[in-house]
Amino acid sequence: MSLFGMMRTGVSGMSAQATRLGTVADNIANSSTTGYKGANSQFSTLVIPNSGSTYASGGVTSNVVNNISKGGVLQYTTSATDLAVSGNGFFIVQNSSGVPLLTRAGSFVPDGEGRLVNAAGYQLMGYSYENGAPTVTANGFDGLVPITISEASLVASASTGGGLAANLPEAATIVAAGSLPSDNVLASQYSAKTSLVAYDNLGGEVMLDVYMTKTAANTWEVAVFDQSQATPGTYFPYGAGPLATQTLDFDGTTGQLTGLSATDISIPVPDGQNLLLDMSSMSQLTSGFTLFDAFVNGNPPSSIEVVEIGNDGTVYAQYGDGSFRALYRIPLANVQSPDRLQVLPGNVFSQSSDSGKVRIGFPTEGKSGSIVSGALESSNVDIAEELTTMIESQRNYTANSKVFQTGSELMDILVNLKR
Amino acid sequence: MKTTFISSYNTNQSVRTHLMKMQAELIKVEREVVTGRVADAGLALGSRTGFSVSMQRDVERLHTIIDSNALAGSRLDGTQSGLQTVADLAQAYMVTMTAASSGTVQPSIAVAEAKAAITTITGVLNSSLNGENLFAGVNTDVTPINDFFAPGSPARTAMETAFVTHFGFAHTAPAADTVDQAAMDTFLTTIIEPQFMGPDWNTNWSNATDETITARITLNETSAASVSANADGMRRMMMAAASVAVFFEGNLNANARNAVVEHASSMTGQAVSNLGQLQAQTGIIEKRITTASERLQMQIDIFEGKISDLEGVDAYEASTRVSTLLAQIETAYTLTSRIRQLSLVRYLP
Amino acid sequence: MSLSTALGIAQTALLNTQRQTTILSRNLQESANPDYSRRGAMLSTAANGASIVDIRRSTSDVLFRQNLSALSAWSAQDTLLNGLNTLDIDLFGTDNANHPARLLGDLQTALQTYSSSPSNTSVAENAIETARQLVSALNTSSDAIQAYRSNVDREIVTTVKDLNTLLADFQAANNEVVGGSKVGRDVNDALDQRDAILKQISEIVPVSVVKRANNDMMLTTASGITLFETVPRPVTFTPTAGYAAGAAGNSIYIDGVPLAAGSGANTTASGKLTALVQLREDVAGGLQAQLDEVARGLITAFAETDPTAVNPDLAGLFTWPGGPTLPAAGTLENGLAQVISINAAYDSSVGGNPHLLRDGGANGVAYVHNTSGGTSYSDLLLSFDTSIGTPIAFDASAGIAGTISLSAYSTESVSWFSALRQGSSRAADNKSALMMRTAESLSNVTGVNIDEEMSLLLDLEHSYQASAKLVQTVDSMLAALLAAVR
Repeated sequence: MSLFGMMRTGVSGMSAQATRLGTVADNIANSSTTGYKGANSQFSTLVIPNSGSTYASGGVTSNVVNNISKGGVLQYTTSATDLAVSGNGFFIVQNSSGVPLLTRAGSFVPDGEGRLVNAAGYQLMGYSYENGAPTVTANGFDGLVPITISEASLVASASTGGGLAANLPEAATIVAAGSLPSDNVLASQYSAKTSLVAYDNLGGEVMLDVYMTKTAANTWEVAVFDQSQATPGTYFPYGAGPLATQTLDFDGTTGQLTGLSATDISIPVPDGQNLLLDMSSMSQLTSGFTLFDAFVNGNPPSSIEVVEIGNDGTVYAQYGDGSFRALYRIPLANVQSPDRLQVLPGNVFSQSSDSGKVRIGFPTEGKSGSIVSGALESSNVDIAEELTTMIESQRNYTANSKVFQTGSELMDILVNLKR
Repeated sequence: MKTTFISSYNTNQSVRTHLMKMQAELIKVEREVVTGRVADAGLALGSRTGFSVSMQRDVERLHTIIDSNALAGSRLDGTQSGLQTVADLAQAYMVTMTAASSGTVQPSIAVAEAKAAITTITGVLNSSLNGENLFAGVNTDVTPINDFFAPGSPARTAMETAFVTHFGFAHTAPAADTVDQAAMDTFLTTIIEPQFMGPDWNTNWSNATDETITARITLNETSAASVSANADGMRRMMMAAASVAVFFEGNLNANARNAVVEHASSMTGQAVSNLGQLQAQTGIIEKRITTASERLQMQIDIFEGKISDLEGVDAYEASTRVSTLLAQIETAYTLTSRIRQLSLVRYLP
Repeated sequence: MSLSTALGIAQTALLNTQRQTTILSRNLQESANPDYSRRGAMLSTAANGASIVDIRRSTSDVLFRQNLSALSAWSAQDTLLNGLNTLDIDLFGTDNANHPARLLGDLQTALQTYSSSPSNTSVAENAIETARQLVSALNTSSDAIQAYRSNVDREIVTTVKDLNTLLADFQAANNEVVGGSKVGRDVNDALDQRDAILKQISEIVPVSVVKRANNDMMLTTASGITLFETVPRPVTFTPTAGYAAGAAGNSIYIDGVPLAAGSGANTTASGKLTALVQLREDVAGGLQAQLDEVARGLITAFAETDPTAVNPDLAGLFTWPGGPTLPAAGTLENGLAQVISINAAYDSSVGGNPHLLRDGGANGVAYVHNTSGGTSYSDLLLSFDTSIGTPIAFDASAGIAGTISLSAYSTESVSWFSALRQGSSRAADNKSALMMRTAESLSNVTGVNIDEEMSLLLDLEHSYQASAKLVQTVDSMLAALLAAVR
């Protein structure tokens, strides 16, 4: 046992409490910082090996741990690009030099180049839809690009698929061969007609006239024309023959298509792709011509009007015609031990050997949680807790100083023994 | 989540729409009370509107026919009284002729009598009503009988010429004295009589047509509505008078004159009988027209009754509806103000 | 849990209450708007306090569709009834006073008066004058019908223009709805707007709605013609500049398919356009054909005959440009009522002689009946009255078939039109009642009840007070803590 040892122990206690007060100060200072994770001082003993009769005091070492896994309260805002993670995941951001980092601070706004950056200046990363629906690279940052929303870009996509479901009137008059729509003559007759908008490669609208004509009992001819070729006023004859024709055979007893009947029609859209129109839900009953469903995919060229972010992380751009297009998908990252992530300035974390490797997944799909648009995660610091910790630390510090003071006084007595 | 099943808009709107309907109805019923007819016949009757129009049309036509029947009636009245005058004259002339045949009457008196008869008959047959000559047949704008006494009268000339042609001398010539009774009788029967009874009548005497006026006396019944001066009675009477007036003035001997008188008597007798028949026929037509008018009036009453059944509105019922509607509208007003009061807003501080 | 969390939740609660109050005040503001659907804020519990997840709009698809179809049916019936009433007053006057059937009655009356004093020139003139009025009524009615058809065409043009505008508006609203639905934005205002436009469209054409992904709508007419699919389909109509009797007007084309006209008094038409076509073709066309047949009947009834039956019958008092030959028997002669005229030979104002009506002979001496020249000759006059009542064959294509008299035909025509008007009026009452009823039901489901909103407002007020109290409490607790730090 030694007085020095006791004094050192007191000093180590004081320094540990100073560290703790430091974290408290930090926490209180950042109590309003979006995505801030409170720091927490944990203490551990330093023990000197002792014989049975004497006790040499050891000391205390402090260890600062960040409560990264503890979520903050979500505060709702009115900006669509304010994002919060509801769950365990992290946004992947990069700094200006391109180093990928993790963060929970989601107050993103577009910068001058259209990149989404948060308050600390980090750029949000995501997977692009440029080459089709993205897949995630589970254990690396490969394939991630800064999410850039350039308002000037125009996009279009050609129609490739669609569907038509309708009831064809069983009582329709049979049209004789020679005056069918497919014959494309002025006297062409038809039983029912509808039209659909399809898009060519450049996003131009192509109006398709779909004529349905009863050619015999339970047999219908479907002929598709390009409306731009129509003769004004009469439509027939069209400047060019039908784009596609198909024959539908119905079962006379059920009114549904027979098993052998064609169920779709492949329409070569002028200057566009082949549009496969599904007609498997057509029926032929005694009711009149009734359309149940008709749709064709594809988008006309248009610029971005509004950007919306879904809770699955998909960044949608809404174009002038009201159509939507997914531009990016924001992934969420997670690590085995989030609390052991290395904390860097600007509310960002980087993976360390303690935290484990980064695993990346899409929101709502794994265990990373989902993205909430229009909300921010507030700091997870509780002022009351910090204040009580501060009072406690203050008292502890005082107690440690008393230990040191006592040691010092004992030292005085010891020194004064020799006169 | 919505928990109520009535919207405030509806609460206010439903009273409003019903109020509007009731007000429109009120205007309609008010009009019906005033006119006693449905406000819009076409709307109320639908496919029966044509029936109503047809009956209204018929009522108008029936009224016109009654009017025209009255016209025909007064024409026939005139005709009847004319016929009566001629018939009375015939009776009197008959007496004169009978007396003349027994020789108790001076020839000059017989002539005067005959001339008077001709004047009277001509006057009667030339009588007119409303500017239409009653006995002219359809030729009502011309005087039916030519004046026998006018100089160069074709009738007189024809008779005298016929005498000359038949006997070779004029009846005023001294040789006329030689004509015996039988020759004179033959002359009167074969030459003079056809002049009156045959087509010569229309040349010498009459401008009237045989055809008489036809009138529609009911919706689908027509009837002769006049008597022509060409009727047999008139011709015979005229012949009886004219033969005496012409041949008594000549140089005929007593026997020949006797033949004239006898022939005239016989003619007058036939004329009396003919005129009686004509009077009876006219009477029958008059009766027919009167009955027709009565029937038409009955028909009008029936039609008007039916029209009233179709289009009429019970004034009592209509006025009851007015008061009911008024009460309903007042209730609606009260209701509106009560609904206005009925709001939670009024009870919140 | 911590005080900060409590504070955060209280803050969220205040925000929620505010947003709910906003929605509520919007509801109150729009309570008198029939096209507004009540909104309700849907709260959901999140880990850190309730948040508004959705603003729900009260809707009922079934009632809305019923309302749309009732609206279409009523609009058509109303259009038809208005058209019929307009034609009724325009052509025939109050209580059919100007109807040819009435004027024919007047002519018969005048003939009766004439026949009772045939020598009287003034009654003869009166008979001719009455005939002239009849002819003039036929002429002006025909002209009015053709003018009416042109007017209907103009109305169709305006309505088609409205429809195209509405479809364009619909596209804008639909794009907004689809766009918003894809990202879960509040599209309720756009939905309201779209429904309101849809109601207006269904007044013009009957609409059948196909719902697609993302609240997208495809519109077809009841008969399956595409009205709107991503983009509006063109509705086209070329008006006819001037109508000739019997000439059919142009069809209205939607997406190149002609729109069928309605038929019947209780019309099968749905929407204003089909009813307008029905008015133009069936009603106005039918009336015209009947007037033409009446005109033909008149020419035939007053035709001059040769008493010796050697020469053919020729047009008498009433004639036409094809005269003196008579129009073919039993066949509709289109536009005859428009061109029928009084034979100049009878017209004293152009040197004619009205007494020709009594005597015959307008077509030469061979046709003189009054050979004796008697001025009180009435047989021919009486025969005209008879021939008005004599059955002749009428063309079935004019709507009244059979061999009936001209007199009966004219009243049948009155009945035909009145029956149409009566049936239409009754159907309009029914359809209007159904329309009101469905609108009421819909409004009961989607409309705002002020009392309900006010009571909800009380709830919100309490909730707000409680949240504020919470904030206050947390504040005083923190104050106490801070006081402890010296």
